[in-house]
Amino acid sequence: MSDERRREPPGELRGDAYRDPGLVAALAGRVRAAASELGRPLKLMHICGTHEHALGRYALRDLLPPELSLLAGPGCPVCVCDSALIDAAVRLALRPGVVVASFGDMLAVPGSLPLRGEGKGDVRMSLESARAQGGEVRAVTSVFEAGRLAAENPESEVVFFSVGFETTVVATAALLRRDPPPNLSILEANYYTPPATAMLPSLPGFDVDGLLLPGHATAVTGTGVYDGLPALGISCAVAGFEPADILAAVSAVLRQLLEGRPRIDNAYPRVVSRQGNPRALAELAEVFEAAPRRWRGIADIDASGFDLRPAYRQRSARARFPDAFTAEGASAREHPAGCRCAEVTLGQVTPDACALFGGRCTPDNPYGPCMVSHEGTCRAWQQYGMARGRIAVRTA
Amino acid sequence: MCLGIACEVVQVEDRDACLLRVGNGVQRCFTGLVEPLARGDWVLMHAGFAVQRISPAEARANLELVHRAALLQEEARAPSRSPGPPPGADGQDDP
Amino acid sequence: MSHYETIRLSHGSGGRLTAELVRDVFLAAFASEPLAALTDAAILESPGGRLAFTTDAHSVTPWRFPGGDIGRLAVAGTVNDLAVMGARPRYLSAAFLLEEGFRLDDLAEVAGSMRRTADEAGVAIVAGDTKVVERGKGDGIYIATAGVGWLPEGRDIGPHRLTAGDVLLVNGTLGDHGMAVMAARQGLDPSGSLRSDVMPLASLVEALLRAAPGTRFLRDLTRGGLAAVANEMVAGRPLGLRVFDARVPLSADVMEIGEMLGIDPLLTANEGKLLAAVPAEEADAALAALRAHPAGRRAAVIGDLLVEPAGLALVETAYGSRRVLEMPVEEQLPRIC
Repeated sequence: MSDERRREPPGELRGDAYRDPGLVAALAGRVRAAASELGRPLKLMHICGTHEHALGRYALRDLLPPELSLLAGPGCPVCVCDSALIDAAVRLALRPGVVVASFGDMLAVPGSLPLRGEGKGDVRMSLESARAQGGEVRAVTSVFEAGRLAAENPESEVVFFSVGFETTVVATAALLRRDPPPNLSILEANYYTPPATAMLPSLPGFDVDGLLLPGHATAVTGTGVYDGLPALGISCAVAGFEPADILAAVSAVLRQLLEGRPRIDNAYPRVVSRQGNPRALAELAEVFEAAPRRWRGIADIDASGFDLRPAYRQRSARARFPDAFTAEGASAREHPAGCRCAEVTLGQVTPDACALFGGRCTPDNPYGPCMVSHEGTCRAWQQYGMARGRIAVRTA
Repeated sequence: MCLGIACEVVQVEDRDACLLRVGNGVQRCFTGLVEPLARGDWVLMHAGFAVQRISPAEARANLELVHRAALLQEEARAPSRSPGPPPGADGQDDP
Repeated sequence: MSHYETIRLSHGSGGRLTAELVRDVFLAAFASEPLAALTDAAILESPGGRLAFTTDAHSVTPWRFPGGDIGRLAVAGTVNDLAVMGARPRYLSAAFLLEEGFRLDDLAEVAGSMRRTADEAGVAIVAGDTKVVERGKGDGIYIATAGVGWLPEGRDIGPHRLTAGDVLLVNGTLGDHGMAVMAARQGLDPSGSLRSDVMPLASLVEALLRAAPGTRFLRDLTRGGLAAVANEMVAGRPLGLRVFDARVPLSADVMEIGEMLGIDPLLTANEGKLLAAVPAEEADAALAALRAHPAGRRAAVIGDLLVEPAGLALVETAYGSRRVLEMPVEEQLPRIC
């Protein structure tokens, strides 16, 4: 490979084609024109923490017309992760002979186990605090890294804290199908978004005109899993993650509203199709089955999580270490008192509606999961200053 | 929900693993969930694995779609190699 | 003479083994007169005038990373702390906290690295100490340094001089060090193309100050990256700070690995980069001087100081939209979302 010089790939394959300022400005213009033609307040929602980060990082809401609001819906698999699962991970980390391997996203999120002696009041244990107490926790960037960790440490039990949505769980399935080391087990904590999204229209006060669908989750599942939404009158467009991708999807939704014909448009066809990734879905179906999950602070939702099938159950941390898990039905504390993370997650309020936001609850002193987690809406809002609206400057 | 980057395959190691160009270096990527790849193919990588292959045709169609949405007529024209926009390139998915 | 391969507890106990260690590793590498005298303190010539004095502690895992090691980091970091005050660095001390079991040839490598970096920077290591802690009670090697330098007459560089309208420059690509170390720690860079930028900047600063004597403020960008310094500069002051993100130099590696892992180069550590605030009329001269220097080839103007919003650091995108540039809260970890 040393003779390989970095060739410039064709423009359409490069991310920066979708960051081009001229293209973004033109798309923003089209969005403003369509919104003006519709002539009424418009409410759109996305359901992906990575979309909220893109909106923040590029300050894309500055480019949208004031009558168009784009809300963050349930898009943070870390924020909705049942605190009982975090508690199990903490107990496992503190158990001699066990190493918990986790994506970095999860490490600072508190569960419900009290942290004694911290002197800061009502602090609960996270994997980070477990590590500070001598627990074995390793940050990994993929499930395959957890597999390598297990191979390199045959005398330890390695538990992979499998969090993330449908995009990520397929990798866990793929690894388990390929005979990983016997000392690797999985703490099943993946969530499946479509049932939660399907629940949104039934919530009181739901008045969203259109939805941006998550581009990488639908790359796996295909767009068909959202077919129920246009039937409810919700215009949908699959959105990628570059500025032009997001604005093109917004534009597609507005066009649907102008035509009065809700449907699912695919504004990210280079990666997303109607059928998704059949190979990934097949491997997923072989290893996991749909299961109910508690969405932290929100609800127990059927078929919104993934349990290992019987043939793979010996890979389940719940089966290997049952005493690390809270008994079924035992109450696990949800969000701390006064925390509005549930409403923020559902897109019912923006973070600045919460009395704690930016005061008692900040990134360096977070109160609830939406601020602790990097992909939480509250964290993104605080990080990028999104509650300020357009930032005016005065030069010398 | 999904950080992912589009990368080029620089070396196929086996059915399940490829080396992808990232920056001026490479990253190992699990590729067992996409079709067999060849050097020069592009994939979307997330959390250490390839989620989907990015075909040049679809990539071209995507850029045309986005340019059309922006009403930038020059870029919306199909490149000379292909006979015209692929079906469905206007972004409409039949529900 | 004993021949050990690894550090023992007795290497730190002040007896024969300590003396051998000092002689065979540290004196051999650092070769400075004050050190060779082996007295309890170094007696040094002083040119008089204002003294700049700094101290630093260094802990990095892994201790050797692409582009450098903890030794180079220790010397460059201390030199840079002095240089960005406008001082000319002269003398360093280095205290080593070694974990029992640390390899002697690794220690020699670290010492050699310190010597080379000191020579690059024109400083001498004139005092030192060594302690050894039990296996399991250290992280291989920690180094604590102190450094002194002298401020030429008339130099007045510091945050009190920051003025709205000043232009902000950096001397090259950002995020290199933090990304290289993180990748090395996570085993994420099989081709080793990510390299730390660790480098002493004393001569770069001199070149800059010659060309732009009105330079108001300098700060080396270390932990917390550009974002940390930007926020420190405006906190509690009637000034805002604006970074144009399209103008920030980034290597292709840092950019794409940052995208892959959700790590923002503006919040990522550097060890060979500084931020300069210069009066607008001196910006061109400052940029030319930086680019003419080997440590500044990719220098760029990246932003400016504002009257408002006071106390805020912000990023203006290529689209004209604006977002806050946050004060980093904790070390960035690779993410999937």
